[in-house]
Amino acid sequence: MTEYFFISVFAIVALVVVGALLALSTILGPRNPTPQKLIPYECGIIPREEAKGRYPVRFATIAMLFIIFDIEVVFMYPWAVALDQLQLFGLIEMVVFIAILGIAYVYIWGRGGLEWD
Amino acid sequence: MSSLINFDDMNWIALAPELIILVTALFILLVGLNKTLNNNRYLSQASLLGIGAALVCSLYLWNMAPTAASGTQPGMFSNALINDRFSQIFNVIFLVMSLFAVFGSVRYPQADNENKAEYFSLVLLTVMGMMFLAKSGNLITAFISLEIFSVSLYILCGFSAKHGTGREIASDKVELSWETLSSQESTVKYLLTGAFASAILVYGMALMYAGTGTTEIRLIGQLLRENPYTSNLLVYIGMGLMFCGLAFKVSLVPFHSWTPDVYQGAPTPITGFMSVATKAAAFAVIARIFFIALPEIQEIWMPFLFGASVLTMLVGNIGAVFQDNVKRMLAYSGIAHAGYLLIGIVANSQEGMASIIFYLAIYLFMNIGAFAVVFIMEGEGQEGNSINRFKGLAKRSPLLAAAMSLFMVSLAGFPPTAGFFGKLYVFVAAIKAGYTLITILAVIASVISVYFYLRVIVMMYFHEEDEEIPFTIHKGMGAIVTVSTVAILAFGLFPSSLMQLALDSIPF
Repeated sequence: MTEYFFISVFAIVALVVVGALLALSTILGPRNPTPQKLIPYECGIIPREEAKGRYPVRFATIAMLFIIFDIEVVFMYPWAVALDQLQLFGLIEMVVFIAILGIAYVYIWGRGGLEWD
Repeated sequence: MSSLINFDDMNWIALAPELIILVTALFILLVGLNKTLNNNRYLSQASLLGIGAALVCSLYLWNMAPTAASGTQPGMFSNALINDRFSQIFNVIFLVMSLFAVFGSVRYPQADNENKAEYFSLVLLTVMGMMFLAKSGNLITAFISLEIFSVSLYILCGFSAKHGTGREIASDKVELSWETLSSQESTVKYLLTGAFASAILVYGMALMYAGTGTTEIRLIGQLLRENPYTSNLLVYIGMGLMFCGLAFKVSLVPFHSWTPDVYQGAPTPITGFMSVATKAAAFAVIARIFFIALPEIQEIWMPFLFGASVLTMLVGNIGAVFQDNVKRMLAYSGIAHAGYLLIGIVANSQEGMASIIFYLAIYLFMNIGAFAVVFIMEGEGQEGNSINRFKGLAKRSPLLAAAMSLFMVSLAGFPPTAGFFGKLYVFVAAIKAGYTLITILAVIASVISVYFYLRVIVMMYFHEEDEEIPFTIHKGMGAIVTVSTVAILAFGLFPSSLMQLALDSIPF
């Protein structure tokens, strides 16, 4: 339980310090707002409209494709590191995995999922 | 350097049904690229071939699978999967259900839908996910297979929607049909709520791992038996969250509110398919988790399952009373049946487990038959599944009306139909385990259910039809109605053979 005691002391101190600093700066700090200070981003482009507009569903297709092949690569890294232990079986497994994704890729390609216009 | 992989327990033969279905699904996807072969006829024939082969394999493997008596180990692939008769009998349930979705392809996907291959491919992948779920011996395998079938179902629910090309600019001029809107509603509702439930489920699994140090279902059970420190708060919370996640999939109250909307909007073949198959798959994993992993802490989960079961039966049956749409009515009836099934888990005995298998096998035939009739009678638009379409059916097609009456009577649980014995075995298991109260409440709930099941029969036999409603009995659907009728009568007259089969198939 002693570990928990020290952790709780640390947590309480952290809360008190952060709270005190925030409270002091709110009470004592000078405040004179200007239009420049009130825009959402101090530097960068000023937003022109709300982000609720509709955009073509094709972006979603591309995003999904990206995620699938991104994850494929993520799987390949640990596999590559351990390949000397996984040996031939590991290689076959990865070939099967890529082949399944490859079939999906061929399907998307054939159905025109990669064409923009 | 030595290999990290244990080759000894890789039983590829026991995975034959899953592999056949996977290969068929991928094959269909590739065939779909060919313009001449991309039609419902060829694709459904290819699917039927794969499903048939997998069915034969599953029945053969059921016979070969290790049993408690044979003494061989059911675990394979480092216990990630389990090869036992329990999983093989569930394979049969999923495969038979998928036949309904494939036969339904005479109407869905619509003729102008270019993505026909996706429909068949997704149905097969859904089945594959369910088969792996019933086989899973590890929480991680269970989660991945659950996601495989859930994601496929999210997409399938939207298949009535007319596919836009994504190139139209949003405008108010586009008139969307009722089918498109309700199908989109169905898929979005199912996706959002389902993803939320999956998150809760996987969080529960994580807590279970934190509490016990393993994700292997059998090992969790062993640890809880042997090590008193394993039974801690983390395990209890994890168990609760896992139950919530799975309760969503079987639509137990209070996680049921998505069911009517999703069932109504989805294409009828998919509604029928998921009404039984999803329930069976989730009950397979609930049974494994509560029967194999958590029987030691029974007194903690029992009150929650008891309450959920009673609420589900009452809310499902009372909700169904107010429905004028047959699909919605069957959705509420499905909720109620999930409650009856949960009684088998509450009983927490070998008999209870067998009664769940029995009930699911019977429910499969009752529901597939009822949905086949709904499919045959279906019309277009919002009133397409209205109960009024059944008015006067007995005069126009006496056989179809008689079959529908049998399904309704069986769902309500009258003897001598199979539905009666399904309920009987579940109730007997509960009484033997000492749960008389739940049985009384279940009987009250089934009395309520008689009203809305008989209402369909009254519509068919005692009402004059408003107008001549045309319908065609497709070959596949006709076969399903016939087989279901025969099965309900046969199992109603000789239930003991099926019960013996169920008793042989309980997990161990």
